[in-house]
Amino acid sequence: MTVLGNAIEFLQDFGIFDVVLPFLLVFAVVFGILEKTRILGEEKLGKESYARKNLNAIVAFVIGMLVVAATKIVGVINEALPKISLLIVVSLSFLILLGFFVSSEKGLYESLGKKWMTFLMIFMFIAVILIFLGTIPANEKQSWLGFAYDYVIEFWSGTLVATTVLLIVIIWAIIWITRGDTGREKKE
Amino acid sequence: MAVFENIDFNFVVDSFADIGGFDVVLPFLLVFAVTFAVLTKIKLFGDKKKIDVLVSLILAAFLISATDIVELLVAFLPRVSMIILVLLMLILAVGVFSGGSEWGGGWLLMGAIVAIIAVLWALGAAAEWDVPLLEDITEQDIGTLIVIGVFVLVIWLIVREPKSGGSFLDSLEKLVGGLKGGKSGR
Repeated sequence: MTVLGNAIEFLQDFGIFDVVLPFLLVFAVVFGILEKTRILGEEKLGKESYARKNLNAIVAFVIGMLVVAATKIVGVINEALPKISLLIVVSLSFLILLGFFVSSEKGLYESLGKKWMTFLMIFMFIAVILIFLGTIPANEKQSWLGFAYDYVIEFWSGTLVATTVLLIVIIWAIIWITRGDTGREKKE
Repeated sequence: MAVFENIDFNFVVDSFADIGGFDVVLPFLLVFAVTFAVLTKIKLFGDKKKIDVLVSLILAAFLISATDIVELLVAFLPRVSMIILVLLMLILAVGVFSGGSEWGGGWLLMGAIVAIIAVLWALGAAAEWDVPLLEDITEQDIGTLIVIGVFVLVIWLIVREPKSGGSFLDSLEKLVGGLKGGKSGR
């Protein structure tokens, strides 16, 4: 074990990752959103108005403490957030590789276009959902994702799975056929 | 005695690895930097940089606490770096004959597909994925997939709208022109 690795282990034993960091994260996120949205009102100082920092801080503090008290939720956060960081790094690697094929006059996002951006957004959304489903436990042995995967594999030739797949194909076909006409109208 | 006689960079790298530089410091810095950049760009919390810094620090700290994810990252990133170098060499080699380093036309789509496959390969190799059902595919399955592919191709060729003008050679010339930069060759 390396020196810094021992330090990380010490901090884990101390409870930094189970108590302090989840609290700080929830506090920061809730406080930031309350400051931005000004849900709890504003106070005026002269001509300018500011968010009610004291109220926002209290609410964020309480929500942070409640989250920390729920050990199951802290466990899910501890397991899911590193995987989301990994997803961020993987998507960064993908964008770096893509940068080789992009014109320097336009930016990367402009070169990709709306369709690719929409596709990537949907992909990232599904990936985040799957990560959280993979960490939220369905029972003592497996997560919701594991449960769903085992169910699909076991009942692959069953009624429910076949019906779901057929439904998805039909809906996709309807969307594709009806969209094809509007595409032709735009070209004309 | 020469000043730099006893300097050994391998020793420096090994020392850095021994203290946990590659397992703790670098993954922490990477995730912190990327997360902070994205949060600053999207302005999720408005103009409050302090909250962006705090959230980025916490996310990066959570990452280094998960040693299995860090191991995966440490195995994944060198593979991506290798792919980047391969692509760079390819651009250098092609650049000898082409006008510039910008690839237009259909090459961007091909580049996106190559990037997806490369990232999946790097991640799979790092995670030692055991792709289920892959070992169960027989020659009959491959034959079935090929027949389905041929059917789809024939249907597409029949159904697609004919483009005005241009033979196969013209299409090929357009594709190669894309290598010379922009949508048309220079």
